[in-house]
Amino acid sequence: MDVFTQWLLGAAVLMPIVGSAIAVVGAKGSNRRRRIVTELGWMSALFAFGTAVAVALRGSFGITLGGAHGHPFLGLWADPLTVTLLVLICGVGAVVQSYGLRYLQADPKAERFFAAANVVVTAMAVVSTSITVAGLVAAWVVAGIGFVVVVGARPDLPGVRTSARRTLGMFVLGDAALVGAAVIIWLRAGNVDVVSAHALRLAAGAIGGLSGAVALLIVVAALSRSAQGPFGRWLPGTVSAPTPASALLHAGVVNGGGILLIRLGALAGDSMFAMVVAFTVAAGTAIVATALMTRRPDVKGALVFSTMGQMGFMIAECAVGAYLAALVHLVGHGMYKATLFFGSGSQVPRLGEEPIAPARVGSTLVRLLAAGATAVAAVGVMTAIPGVLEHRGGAVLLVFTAATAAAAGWAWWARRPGSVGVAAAWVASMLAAGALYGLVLGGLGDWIGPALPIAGIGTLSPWWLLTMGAGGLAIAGLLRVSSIRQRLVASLIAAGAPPAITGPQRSTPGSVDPWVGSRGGTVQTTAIWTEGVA
Amino acid sequence: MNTTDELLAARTRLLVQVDEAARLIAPLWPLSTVIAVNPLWDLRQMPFAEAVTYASRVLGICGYPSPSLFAEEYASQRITNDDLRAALGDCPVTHGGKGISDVVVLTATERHDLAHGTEIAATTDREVAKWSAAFLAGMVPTHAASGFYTAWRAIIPSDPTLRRILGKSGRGRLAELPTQPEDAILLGLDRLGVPEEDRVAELARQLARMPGWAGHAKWRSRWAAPYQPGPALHLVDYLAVRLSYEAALSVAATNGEGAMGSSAFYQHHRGLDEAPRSCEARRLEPPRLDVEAFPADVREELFALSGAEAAQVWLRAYEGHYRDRLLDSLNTEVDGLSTQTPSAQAVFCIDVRSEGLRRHLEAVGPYETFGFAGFFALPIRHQPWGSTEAVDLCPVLLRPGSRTMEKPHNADVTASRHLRGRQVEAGAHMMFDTAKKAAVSPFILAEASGFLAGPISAAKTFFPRSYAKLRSALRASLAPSVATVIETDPNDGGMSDEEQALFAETALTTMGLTRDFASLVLLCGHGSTTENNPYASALDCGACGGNRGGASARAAAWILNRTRTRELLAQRGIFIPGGTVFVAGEHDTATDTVVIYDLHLVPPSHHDGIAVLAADLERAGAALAKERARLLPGVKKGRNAVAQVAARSTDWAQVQPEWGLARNAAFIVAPRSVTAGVDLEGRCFLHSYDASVDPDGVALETILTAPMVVAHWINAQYYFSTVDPEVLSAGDKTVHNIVAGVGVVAGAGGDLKVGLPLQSLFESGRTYHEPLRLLTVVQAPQIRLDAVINRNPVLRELFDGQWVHLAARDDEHDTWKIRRSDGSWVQWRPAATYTEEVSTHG
Repeated sequence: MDVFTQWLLGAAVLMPIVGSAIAVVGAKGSNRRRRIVTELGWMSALFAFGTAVAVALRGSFGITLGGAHGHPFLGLWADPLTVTLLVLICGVGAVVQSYGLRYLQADPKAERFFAAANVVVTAMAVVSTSITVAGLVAAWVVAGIGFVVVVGARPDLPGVRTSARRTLGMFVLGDAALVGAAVIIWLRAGNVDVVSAHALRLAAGAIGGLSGAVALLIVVAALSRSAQGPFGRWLPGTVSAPTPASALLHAGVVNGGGILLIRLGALAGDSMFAMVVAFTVAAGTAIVATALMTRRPDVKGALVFSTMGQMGFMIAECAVGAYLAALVHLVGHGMYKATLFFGSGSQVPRLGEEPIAPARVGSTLVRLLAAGATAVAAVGVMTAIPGVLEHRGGAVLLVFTAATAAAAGWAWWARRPGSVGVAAAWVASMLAAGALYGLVLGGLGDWIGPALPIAGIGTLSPWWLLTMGAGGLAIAGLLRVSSIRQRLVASLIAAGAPPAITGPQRSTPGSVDPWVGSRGGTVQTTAIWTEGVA
Repeated sequence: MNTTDELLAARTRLLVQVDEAARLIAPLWPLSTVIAVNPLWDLRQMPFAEAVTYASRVLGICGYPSPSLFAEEYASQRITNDDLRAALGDCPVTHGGKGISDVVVLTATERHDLAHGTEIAATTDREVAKWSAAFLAGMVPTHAASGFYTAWRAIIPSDPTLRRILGKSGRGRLAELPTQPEDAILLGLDRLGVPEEDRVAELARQLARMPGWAGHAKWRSRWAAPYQPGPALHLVDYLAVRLSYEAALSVAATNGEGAMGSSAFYQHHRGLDEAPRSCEARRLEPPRLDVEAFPADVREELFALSGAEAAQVWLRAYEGHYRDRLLDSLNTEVDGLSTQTPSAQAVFCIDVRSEGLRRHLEAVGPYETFGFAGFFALPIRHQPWGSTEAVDLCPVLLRPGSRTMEKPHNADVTASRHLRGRQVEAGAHMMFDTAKKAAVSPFILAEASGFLAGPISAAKTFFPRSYAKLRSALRASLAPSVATVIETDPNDGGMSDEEQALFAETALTTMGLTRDFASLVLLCGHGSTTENNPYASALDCGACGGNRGGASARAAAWILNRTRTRELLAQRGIFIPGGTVFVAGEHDTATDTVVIYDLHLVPPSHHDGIAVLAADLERAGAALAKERARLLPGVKKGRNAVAQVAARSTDWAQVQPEWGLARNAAFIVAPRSVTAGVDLEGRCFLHSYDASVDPDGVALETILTAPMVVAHWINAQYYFSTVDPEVLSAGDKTVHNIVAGVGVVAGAGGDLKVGLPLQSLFESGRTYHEPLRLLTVVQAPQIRLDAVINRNPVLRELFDGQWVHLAARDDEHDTWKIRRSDGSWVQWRPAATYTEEVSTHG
């Protein structure tokens, strides 16, 4: 039985890389081969799910490779935390490929995409489950390189080359930081077992005076992968790659910063300075990027800045030690954003389908009351669920939940459609949503809690998260002040705009368009009509 | 003359120049109603070859299929030596126009950029694209009724980018911009030193920098109905913003000395216009052809020709081959196809996708089918029930004449439940959207909804069809479907009884259905159901203005069923028997299913007939779906083809749900007997025409000036998108990014994409659409045809200029004749016989 569960774990992680190999060696444009690769992706997702079930039923287990007894060189570990991440990564990989199988049907370079995407999936799976620092850091670097290949798979498309280059640059910076941290750890404490809290405590002691540097380097790596602050410049350009690449990025790569900070939380959370840096950059990004998101005219651009803001929230949660909240956020947001990217072609209004607006319009007072009541109700339901308030930051999350519920109530009562029955159904669904969210938090908290790092001495108070809410409200307020509004709107529009565009006129001569592309000719070389060539 | 008068005169002159300059730009309709348009429509006064040469100089387009495509088609015998001989022996090759070679092809700033390594034009593109997108998305604060230029002028001093690209002094200069957009253009042209005689060329090139945004502006200024919603970005505003940037940037680049602001500078750099702009620079390596493989006579002539001349010969050979095959396949005499009375008559849209359904329907039962423009000659502004906005259901060449309304058949409880259900859905969407964009709420909203969205994504990706069924079941339980009726009421902007009768007479006469009515007449519109497809409306009915055609069919059927209409029709000599019922239907071209509408309006006596018709339509549709499945990429062989085709229309990952009008090639104006039983491969627009009921040629004139022009637009759109995918197609669908709901850009930003997406034209690496100019085939007396052509300048332009080819014969006993560009007619000879004759005579 143990061998079986280990086999499940190993297969879930390795299946994608097998698919990658098949895609590389496979014949070009062979649909059957692409289908096999996709099926491997689904099997990997199933195995990941099976591993999670095994962990739930029988507890944590791992596979180790090399090294002396008790100190493996490499290894994979399945505990409630790592399998949750594993299910997310493999699941996203499977859906992205299944979608890509049809979406990239006509794409002559689809094999490259499938191969690189599978490398990313396996690498991120290892980042999520690796037992040792060495495995984690190596996989992190591979995931970054793999993703740059995913973005650059179609260099003929406008903006792709620039975007791939910029992404690579930012990743190199972040990876260098992480590798630096790993080298320090290795020299001082060896190939640390990141799963064992005991080993991590020992390692922290061994690193000693350099722990601040290690923590800061880890934070820099996380900020660059999660497109925060000055490291975020690579993210907007990535929409020049086909949609499935964006879905993979936003669900399984960009949240790597959160995964890193949770898994190495015990090392990163030890330095107050590093946590302050992480929090400041992330909270600032969350405030600014969320405001930018509302001033992007293009669908994918809005999604990109939304992600930046959401990742800011996630990193800030890590910086205050609210690891469970960060985990729930990175999983939930990943699925949310992938869905929005997949469906990004649906945002065209069709004439005659917009329904007549409900006639009744609530007054401000009524809307305020509705917002307040919804907030109180949602929070009430959530607090009734055991476990929600027990984990770190739970109380702060309640504040955010209340704000969300209030916004929903405020918006719904603007044009409250339907009858009393509809209103009742709406209230019930709000309560149900609150309860469901509470169950996810509470339920996962119970299960995963023990596998999460304990908040380090450097982590800030969770109440700092409220500054983000305050910042968001401040921008919203400034946008209502007419003297500032103009300037702010102009700045937001300018800041979100792509740095440069490629028009058809300025395309490089001689670039091979794979669509129309070269179709190997016959023997002699004579232009049919291109003058002067013959 | 005082200065005010001078200013007014200058403005007027400028507006004329802007109009002239904009001829080069094709209007770009918003995504909600994508309309296929000939990108060179406003150049149609020139012959095709000349217009293409001109556009290739100024727009940088390639106007002919690539040499490699011809090489490929030659290798596969799609173009034969005979075809080439016939094309070479055809009318003399017309080349270029006078003066085209010295046309201005660079803007003043482009020359400056080339000469001094600046990036003025590119910076302008970037900034203009940024503000155009923000303006159309409603993100730039505007005061009531102020245009793009005014809004831009108000916000631009706050733009931090400006400080970077202009410096402090430049920002000051921008503050002095005139209030009127016309004056801003004049000022800009002055500062750039553009002499009066070069202004049109300069403005044209300014527009050609970004054909997408300019096309949108042209649509708004020249084509959009005044009531069209959304922020209005007009051509003059657009040019004013562009030139203001260019002028400010050029002054900054020349250190405020205004060196560019002299015509001397302008003239000095004219030589740079010779820099390669034409498509040869973009085309890949020259095609490799085995010269020795050509017979000596062809080789001598063909390879002596210049580039453009040879391209014309190849294209004509390509077209000639298809023409020969088509004319050869058409029936020469009526072979008593349907001596028995049809059990029903069915009128379909002229759309090429109707051809297959008609062919299969006629094969499964005794049906008589007709082809007619899918709006059934009923240009209406239609108000769907429960919706705020009305829809214009007519070709964009027309403006809707009257209003129609959809109302519940019985105003009962279900009707109000339906309405409420839709409002709840809309309210939920709005709530989600508001919470998503509010200050604090997005964070929890995203993660909480993610746990719902994730499984939904997986289900939609893996089981698209089941998910679609589930979703429509949920919708139906929220908003139960309601029996409605589409009516027109003269008291509410609708048609009077007389107008209805006039419409009925025109429609029936034009389609040639004025006697021998069957007891059931189906009026079948069409639409396409696709998922997650920004270009969905491009697959809908072009004759209905890029909307679904069901409503038009329902309105037409309602009018034709009215007793009053029939009484008035009888006075005009058309007797519709009391037992004849018109029913409306809609052909879903993505799934090849047909729904029949308004069964609650059909008398019980006809229910059995409709049941039989519906069953036969299902059989015909299944046969057509099977036929189409063979051509669709990614359909697995040996499995249920019909189900696979249907699944594509619900699949959000599907970028090629159907082929649309790809491979369209001909427009046939003739009775169905001419094409009955012939497999036209879904490549022909079929318009019914019975010359015997149209002695004065009015119907023929309507057909050629309206549906044929629409067909030409579609054909030309497919042609140009295929021959120059880089500039004239919308590019790869997988990187499309919807901007402001009106258009798409590729990737992060830039110009709006024009034309059709690559996925509608190419199979991976292979050209699916054959780029051929439209061949119109008419069966009508030649005298009548000539008269119609001669009294319509647009037809003369199209036929004389070789934008459209024309073949005709008087009746089914006659032989086919081809119209040449000088208006003369020659006997049609297939290319093969041509060779024989040449060899015997020469």
